[in-house]
Amino acid sequence: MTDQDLCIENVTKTFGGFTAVDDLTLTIPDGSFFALLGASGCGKTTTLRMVAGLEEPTAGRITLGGLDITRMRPYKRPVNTVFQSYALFPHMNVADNVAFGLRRKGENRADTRRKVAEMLDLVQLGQYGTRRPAQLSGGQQQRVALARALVNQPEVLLLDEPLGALDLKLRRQMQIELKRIQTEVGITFVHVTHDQEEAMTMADTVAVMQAGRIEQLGAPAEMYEFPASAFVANFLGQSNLIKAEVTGQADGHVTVDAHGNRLAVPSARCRVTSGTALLGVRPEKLHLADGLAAVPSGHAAVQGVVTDASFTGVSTQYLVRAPWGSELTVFVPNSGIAHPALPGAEVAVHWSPAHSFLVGS
Amino acid sequence: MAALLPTASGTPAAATEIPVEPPAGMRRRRWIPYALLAPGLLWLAVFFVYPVFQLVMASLWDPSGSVETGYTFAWAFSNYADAWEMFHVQFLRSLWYALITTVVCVALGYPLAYAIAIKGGRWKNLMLVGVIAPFFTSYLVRTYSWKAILSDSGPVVDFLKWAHLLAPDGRLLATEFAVIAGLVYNFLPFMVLPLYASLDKLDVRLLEAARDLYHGPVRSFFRVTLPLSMPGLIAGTLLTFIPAAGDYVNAQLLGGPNTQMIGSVIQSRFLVVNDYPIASALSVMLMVTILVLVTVYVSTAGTEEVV
Repeated sequence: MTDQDLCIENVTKTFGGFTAVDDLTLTIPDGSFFALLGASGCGKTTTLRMVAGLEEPTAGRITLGGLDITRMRPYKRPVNTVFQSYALFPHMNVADNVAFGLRRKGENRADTRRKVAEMLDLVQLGQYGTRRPAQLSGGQQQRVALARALVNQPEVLLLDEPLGALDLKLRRQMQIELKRIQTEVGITFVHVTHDQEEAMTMADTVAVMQAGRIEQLGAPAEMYEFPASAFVANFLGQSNLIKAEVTGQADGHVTVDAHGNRLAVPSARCRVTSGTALLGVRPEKLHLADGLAAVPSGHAAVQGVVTDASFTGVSTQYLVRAPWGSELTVFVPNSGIAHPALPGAEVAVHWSPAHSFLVGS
Repeated sequence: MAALLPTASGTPAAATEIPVEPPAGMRRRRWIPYALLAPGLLWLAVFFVYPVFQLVMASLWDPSGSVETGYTFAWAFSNYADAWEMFHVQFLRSLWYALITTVVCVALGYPLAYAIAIKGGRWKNLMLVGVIAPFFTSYLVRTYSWKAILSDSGPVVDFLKWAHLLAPDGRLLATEFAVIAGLVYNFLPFMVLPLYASLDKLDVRLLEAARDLYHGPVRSFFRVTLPLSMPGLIAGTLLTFIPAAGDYVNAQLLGGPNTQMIGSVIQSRFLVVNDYPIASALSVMLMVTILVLVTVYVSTAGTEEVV
């Protein structure tokens, strides 16, 4: 961590009676790729706009490298934004769009031209300098918007759902591209998105936001494997959440009673240790066996009936109805080993307790 | 812009041929666009092309004729020289007044259009009605009421005298100020409406982008807002300048002998003095001058292709 960290301290933003961001505190380390993830209306874009200076916080402080920028005018901040709508200037060609910030900063003509050319090469639009934005495709416009912001070498680059308008294939391509560019330029990227896969693919650190607060913050894999709450468990990938009553603790495990099944979860993977809780297991960590007898020792298991099997290519996704009525989702990799189970078959669903987690209900 | 020039209406996109061979049913209907154009073209031919032709002919009549004795066509180009000799002061004054009027209309109209389009919110429509409201009364009546407002015993003169902004024997009526004020008042809506249409389409997110890229409010305006409102500004200035240059009502009602404009000269030449050749020559000169000025203006200001 160097001293160019972006710190958001106790920031609140209200619009009339609506609290968009609620006492948010966050430190974004210099040079990191940070994703703010959440459903629409969770306050992620408002947070971004406050860092950009396009909104003023109702309370709290924002500092960049120790410098208080809370009330600094947006055009004075060493921060640039890639807007969701791209907001390219329609009356200028691509090169003039990219040079827009540099010219204002008083760069000389030769430097400006060289930097613009370099930046257009970086986003693979070297040949498009004289085109108008309207003559470009969505993906190309997106890259112009990126080049226009990056060319100024900001301390922090803000990306507001930059890939939202692109089709799936292009989005995948741009995710990898953005990641490459970030590694290359080493600038702090703050990326706002509602797409959990996008956040996990690209960011070093993800913050899941809900109702103006941060629900959980961490490395994508860490958060995926051990979510802090039922919300995160469901928002970040899919989860099977089984209602359970904590019954006790013994040698490093918390024991629970889930609809009459006695199950154990390692204490280190429990967010709660008493009362009613939710036991979670990711669908790909569940396995199917023909009966309880076939379950490997040490695995937790429940019996059920297959109600649906959908073949998706990489895996088969099963729905298994548990005795208490709710359905469990099971992903079985299509590795060619197991024979497929048919709807109506009696099966045992089993998992390693080390793959389960316990969160508050 | 093309719609401003009546002759341009003869080339609509509808007349373009479809490149693919159309089915038989469609081919039979190829005459429909022309049939729809016919009434308009006929109207223009009878009421625009023919009168202009007549006007040009009349400007070349032998000046020694009169309404009583009749005129003969004589290629009398000297009419133009005479007209210029006699009335170049009024002619240049008209262009000058029209220019001032246009500049003042931009200065007043741009902020107004900007406020309505960008900050208007739910008052937008009401404010637009306010801009259009004067049209509910006749042009002449409105200008007459200005005469009353600016009259020597009127409230404006009284106030200005009281505030020592006007000499005790000063007056507003029959001054340049009155004529230009009247022109500005009467043509301001023609500036505001096209500007409003342009500014209303402006994406405010572009202004956010400009702010994000180190441009303060003033620079954002000149690099983003102004270029993107150019179509409205060009339309507005044309709609103000052209009628103002040819106007005679304001000069007639609010002006005096020293503020006479070319419009009133033409009017009196035609209807009072009955000097048709000079009146026609003046009309043609005014038309050609405006056409040249507008062409030069549009081709320099309008080169920027705006999406």
